[in-house]
Amino acid sequence: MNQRVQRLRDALIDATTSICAERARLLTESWQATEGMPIIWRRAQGLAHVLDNMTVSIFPGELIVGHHAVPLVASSVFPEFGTDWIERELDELSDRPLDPYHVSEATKAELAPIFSYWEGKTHSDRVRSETLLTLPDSVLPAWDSHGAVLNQAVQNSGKVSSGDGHVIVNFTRLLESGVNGILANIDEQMALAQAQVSDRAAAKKGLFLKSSRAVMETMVRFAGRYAAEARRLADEEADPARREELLQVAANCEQVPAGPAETFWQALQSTWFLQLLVQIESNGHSMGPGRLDQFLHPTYARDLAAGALTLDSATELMQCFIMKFNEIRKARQTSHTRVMHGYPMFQTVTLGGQHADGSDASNDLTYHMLEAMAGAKMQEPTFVMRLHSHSPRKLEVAACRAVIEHGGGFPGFFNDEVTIPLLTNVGVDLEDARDWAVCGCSEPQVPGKHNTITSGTCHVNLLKIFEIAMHDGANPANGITVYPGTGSLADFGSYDEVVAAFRHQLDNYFSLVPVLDNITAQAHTDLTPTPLLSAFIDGRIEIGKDASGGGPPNYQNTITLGHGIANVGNCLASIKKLVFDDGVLTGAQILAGMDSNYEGEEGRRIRKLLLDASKYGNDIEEVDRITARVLDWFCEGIAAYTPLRGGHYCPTPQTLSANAYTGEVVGATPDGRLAASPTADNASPMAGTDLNGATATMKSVARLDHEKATNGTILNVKLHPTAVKGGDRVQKFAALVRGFFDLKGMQVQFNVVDAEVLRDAQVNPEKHRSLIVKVAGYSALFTNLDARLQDQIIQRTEHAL
Amino acid sequence: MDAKTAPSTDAVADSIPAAVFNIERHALHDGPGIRTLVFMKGCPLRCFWCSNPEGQLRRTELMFTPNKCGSSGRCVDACPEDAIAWTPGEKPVVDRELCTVCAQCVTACPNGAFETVGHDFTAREVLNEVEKDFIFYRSSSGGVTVSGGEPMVQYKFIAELFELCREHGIATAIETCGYVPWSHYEAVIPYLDHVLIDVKHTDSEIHYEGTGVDPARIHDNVRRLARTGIPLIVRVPVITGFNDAPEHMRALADFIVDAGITEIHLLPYHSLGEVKYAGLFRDYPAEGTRPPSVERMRELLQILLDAGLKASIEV
Repeated sequence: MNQRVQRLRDALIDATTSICAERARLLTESWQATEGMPIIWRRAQGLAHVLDNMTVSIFPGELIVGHHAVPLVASSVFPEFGTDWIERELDELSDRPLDPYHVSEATKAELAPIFSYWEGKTHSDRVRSETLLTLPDSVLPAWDSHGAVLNQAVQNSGKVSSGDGHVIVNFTRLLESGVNGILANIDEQMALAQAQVSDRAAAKKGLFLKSSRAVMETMVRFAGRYAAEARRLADEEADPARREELLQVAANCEQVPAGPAETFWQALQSTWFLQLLVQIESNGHSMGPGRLDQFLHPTYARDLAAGALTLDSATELMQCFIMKFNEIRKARQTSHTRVMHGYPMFQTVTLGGQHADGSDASNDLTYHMLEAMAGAKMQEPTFVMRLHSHSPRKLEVAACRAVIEHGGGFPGFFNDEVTIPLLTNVGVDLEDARDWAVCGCSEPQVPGKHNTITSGTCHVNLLKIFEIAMHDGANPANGITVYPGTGSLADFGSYDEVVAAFRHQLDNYFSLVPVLDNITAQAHTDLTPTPLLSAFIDGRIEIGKDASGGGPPNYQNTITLGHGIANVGNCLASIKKLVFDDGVLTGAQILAGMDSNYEGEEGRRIRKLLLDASKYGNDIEEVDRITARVLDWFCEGIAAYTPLRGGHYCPTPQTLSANAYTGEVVGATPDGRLAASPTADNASPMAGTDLNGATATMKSVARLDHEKATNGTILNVKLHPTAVKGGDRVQKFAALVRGFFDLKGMQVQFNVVDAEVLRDAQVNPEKHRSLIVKVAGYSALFTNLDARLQDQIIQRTEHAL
Repeated sequence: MDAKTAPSTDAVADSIPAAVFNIERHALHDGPGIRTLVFMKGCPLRCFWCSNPEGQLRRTELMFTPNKCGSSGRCVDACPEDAIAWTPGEKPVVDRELCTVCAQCVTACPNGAFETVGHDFTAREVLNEVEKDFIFYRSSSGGVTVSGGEPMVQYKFIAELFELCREHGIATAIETCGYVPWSHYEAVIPYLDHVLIDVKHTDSEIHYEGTGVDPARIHDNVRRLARTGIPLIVRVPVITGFNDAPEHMRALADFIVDAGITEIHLLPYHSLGEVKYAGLFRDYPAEGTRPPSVERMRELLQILLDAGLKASIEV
């Protein structure tokens, strides 16, 4: 990291994270002026008004420009998605424990009239009221409208009150043809549509294209404002070197995104503009730039060969580019910060992988980008490395070195040998499947060809449903029965009956997932279409339809997350072994233990027997197979439904950082877990129960059928520094990843930390502010995590020698 | 693990059970690649710095982990030999003379603070454990390493295990102190891929004082093993005040070079064995020994490098 990058990085690390009202004010001004007009046109005009009037900021030393708010690190406000939560929580945002935001009094005053304008008009208002009007009467008493959660078991996600995201737009197209190329395409389609205007579909297509045209022109004007600002700063600049840089920045912004990127610098600039603008438009997260080492390679190679770029200047440009990703924040309501905290944006970069013909796609930029990423040591963007059966070992080792240097778990590793079949199984063409990238934590998508993949996203608390099933269908926390059961754990006469009771509840609760998702999806289509984003999704201009409507010609997924896979597997294995195989305990005894939170002499005895039973994560075949079945039931149950936007339901055992939260609502369980304590994260074993080392953990996790979890799986492995540093250990680290992938594991990410350091960070957070840890699919500053999650990270079995 | 499912093609399989006190997977410091370490009980040496004292005796022993103890006193009630002394609120103390390792306390303890170390395994049972990480040996050019204690005490078992490993495509290594008859090595050599052998001191008297044995046989075995052509690494535990003098390292380098050996590892002393001695209710013989300084380790390393050896410090 050179001095310039270091200064940019310091500014980001030291910045206060704030709420910025500017976008909300500008959007509202436009919205008031366009009342009554077609929604797609209003969205285009709204974005145009924001981009034409928002503050233009070029920060000292920047080489890549384009900012989304007034303060350096901030979240804009997106009132169209929901104002109720932010209005309610505004005074507490500064002091809340997770992901606080500074809100100035001026901001509060600016937001007040905006909130009152939007009252009753938002996406969130629509979803909440439609949900109440749609849910069956038998279910309503169990529906918590405020938390959007059914009987503590099925929770509608943050997409009730925020944007959608989860898409990788076609950056290659922008770099190759520029906005001007897309405008030509729009005009061509417009002529076709206008020729058939008497046809209603063609007329609507014309309206969409007119809106798209407006936002494309806005993109060019936005870059023009940056060019003008750069020239203004250049005029005032005393340092001739910086003046030259600013003039080049201006020239870049005049060339891109309007035209094709002619240099590596311009390619990065153009990529950043699009990455920035799709987020300003949509309020989404998990909007990744995709395969940077592929689409940036032509300009990189050309500039290096021509001597226009040195390796050092390329590193500097890439690191300046990386810093920009860390300016964007997305304020979430407090209840959702429990599910995802550490200010994650999930803007994921995917490296490596294969070409369309199946040959290895890694190149010199892949290695260079790994080094730039490791040296920058930032939390965004997330980096992942695609490996396949013929990946060079040199690449695997370089990626492992980067993990050690970065210190925050990047890159995570993904296995093409699982992911490509997984995609072809849900209808993706083989050549497209080979072009996949990660759009968020683990969700594989084809850049430009997958449409935004979420309609809604439900979190299914599998362990809660298991608890309900063991109580004859009643939730012991509130006494509510939504679906009558088939008996309690005290009644079941065989292991099969236990399984049947769980699956009975599971399938019933699953039936509500599409109800909730479809309402959210429809609200996106009706209220918050995204004409800018849509222009960069293949085929949308040709069909003349906004991406939010889904449907062909794009691939479509809707995500459902299942939490607590490992816990349910361990519970079932304990019951099978102790009650039905060995007869050591009765179901009634375990149920009594659960209900008393294993208190008292007898409770402790029962709990010890349960804890001593085999646990998933130790390469013990029986419990691993049971856990794998739990994942199968979840995946197959959800995949039976078809989402509103078409395509497939794509299940995942991802938990983000929700495992503490998920566990909070669940009583004591037959895996020996106490009431309200965390559940296992993602596809990982329960913390503290995998005691046979990393290889045993990987053997267990590889027994899951990862190809069924079509939205991807995540395994977090914590390694002590001694397992990876010194001698030829990095080679052995690479071999560990290779072994897991030979076993058909899908994904693994490593935390190479020292518990000592983490404990010190709990006591002296100020000393460790730049300490990044990987939590459930993303990285966060350790000091930003809550104490319980910190404890858990420390507790996780250390696979050290 | 299930002997019933094991194919019985090998006539001598399962013939010689051996005492094993631990099997550790994902081992990274004991031979090439990712390895499984099999710790065998029984050792002819009594090195005062020993970090695996539970490996010294061939028989099963009782081991206590103080951190797990919740001072419930259950072990005292359970012990049929009255071998456990306990004051409420404190940790129990076991009299090794009286203890018969009946393991009643192991069952009685609600916190799992007691365990027995050393269990009989057949070669095929060990193979089944070792095979579990086959895929990682393949990806890393790793394999199995037998350690201890001194694995070559139970050499017939090792020969049998290694023959099975050969059949299953698993590379083998021994981590040995060198103090066994040459014939023991001869039995294993046909199936042996790597040797890690300790050289603790070049001087007979000092060696005897530190380990309880004369090193002549060890030095002889080192020379003979080197001549087999099997890749061999000498490992030197560097113990402050015992063998960390630069002049000793020069003498050691001369011996190594003369034996035709090219690779050597230095392992700085650590005190992790202390807690195990406490768990066995034995006094720690290396009490007060300090790890060698980083500077000293570097100095010793340089001596070896200057002698033309491929040398490294393993931590």
